[in-house]
Amino acid sequence: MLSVKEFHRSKTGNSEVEYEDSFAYDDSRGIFAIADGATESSFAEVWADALVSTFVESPPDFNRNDRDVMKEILRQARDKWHRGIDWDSLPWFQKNKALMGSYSTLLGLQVDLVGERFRCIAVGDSCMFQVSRGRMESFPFADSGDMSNTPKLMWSGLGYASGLEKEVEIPGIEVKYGRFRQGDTVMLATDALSKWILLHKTEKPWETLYAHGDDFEPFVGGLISGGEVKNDDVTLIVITIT
Amino acid sequence: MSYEAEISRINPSLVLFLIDQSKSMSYKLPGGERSKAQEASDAVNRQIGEFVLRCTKSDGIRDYFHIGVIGYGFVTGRAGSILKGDSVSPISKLATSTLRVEKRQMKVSDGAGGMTDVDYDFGVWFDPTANGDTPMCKALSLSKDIIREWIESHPSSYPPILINITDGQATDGDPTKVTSEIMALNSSDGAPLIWNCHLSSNPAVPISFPSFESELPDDKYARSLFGMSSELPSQYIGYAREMQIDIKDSARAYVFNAQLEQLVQFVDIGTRGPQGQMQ
Repeated sequence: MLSVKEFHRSKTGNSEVEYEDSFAYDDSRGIFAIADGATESSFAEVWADALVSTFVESPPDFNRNDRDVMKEILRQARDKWHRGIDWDSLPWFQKNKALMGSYSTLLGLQVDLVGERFRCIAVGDSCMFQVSRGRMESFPFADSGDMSNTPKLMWSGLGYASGLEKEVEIPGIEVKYGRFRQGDTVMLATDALSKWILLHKTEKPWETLYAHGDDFEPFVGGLISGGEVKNDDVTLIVITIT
Repeated sequence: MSYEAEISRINPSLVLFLIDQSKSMSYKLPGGERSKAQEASDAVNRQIGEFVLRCTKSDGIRDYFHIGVIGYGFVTGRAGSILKGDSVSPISKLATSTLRVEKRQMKVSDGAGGMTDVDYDFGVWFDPTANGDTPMCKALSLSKDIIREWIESHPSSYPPILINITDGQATDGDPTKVTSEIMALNSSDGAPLIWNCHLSSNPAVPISFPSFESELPDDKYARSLFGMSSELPSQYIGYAREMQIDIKDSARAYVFNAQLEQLVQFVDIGTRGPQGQMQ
């Protein structure tokens, strides 16, 4: 059985409607996804939503080839993204930007309770942390120094009709297959909090996060105002396997 | 450390463009058909467009930047704002106050290893002018006043950026004195950044972001403009290297007959999309 807790907050100074991360899950089927829409592209939140909802609504066959899985998700999500924008109402500068497409990370996790295994697929710097018997393993980065200012991102493709017809490459797909035990906890986090977790990886950071389960918003707000976490949208999903 | 202040709507930054509109700007660039004045106005319109693009979100434009454009030499001895309205405007106001919007084409990556032509709208805020002398010092003094006022009202902002596009021939004195005074006007995040785009009739090889005077063409204006250009902050160097751009640690914000737009990409306002989509 899976129990799930979810926390998210907008970048300090932004409103909830400006939150550009996205998450979706169906714990009954063991499907989870988070995405971090790139601030500098427009309609990034539409794109991030399209990616996570596609991953959860159309969960890929566990045994299917990873790249084919991602290509199918991309195809469906691009269609959702394009339909999610009211192109005719945009002023020239918004249309210019939207036509260049939107960018987002994506991290999708599938948990197979019967087989006690999981598959995690990621593009970009959203991370998964598996805590098992007091030890933490991270994916796709082992160290905060491995995270860069220019993460790999999934692109919606151009907003032009001709752009939508073309296939778009997916850069840097990372995949992890693993097993879990009863009592393990898995955390999915977007980059700002992931970086903090990795920076504190030797100090059992999960215990600090669990301890602030009821006051996560002010806790993360304090980390941001103290300069420990970059001012960014923050998303965390904590999954406990019992 | 400097140049780390977050650029946000609450704490915006200032960008001032200075554009040489003197008679000498009517000369053509080496090997080209267009005048320096045409290239300069295109460059500034393109860079304003780039800032507009970077601040545009699904719900409109976020005022991360306030922008001003100062022309000099449009009338002999004169320098002043050439935009409609205030000398400095929030970028959202600028986006809706173009002179006109032109249809243009550009090449963009198709995401599958190829390039494709797409139509886009090119905002034009002013037209080329090439008329009088080159009162660059006057324009810089005017900028100094605007920057001082900005820093007084935004003491913790990302340092103002001054982008000067010229053929280099100041006719009202030595511009390096006033640029030194500008660079001494610190916000809590550091000194203003001065970028220089040098449009020259000298047929020497174009150069971008040199580190040493020895890399410059044999041109006294090149040396003068190089000397008054800021060293690129280490953050810019870091981004440039992540984008596989070969750049040295002590590189300066100076280009000779080359485009300066790349620097606009280096100013950090959030998670970037991959660079190089636009050609």
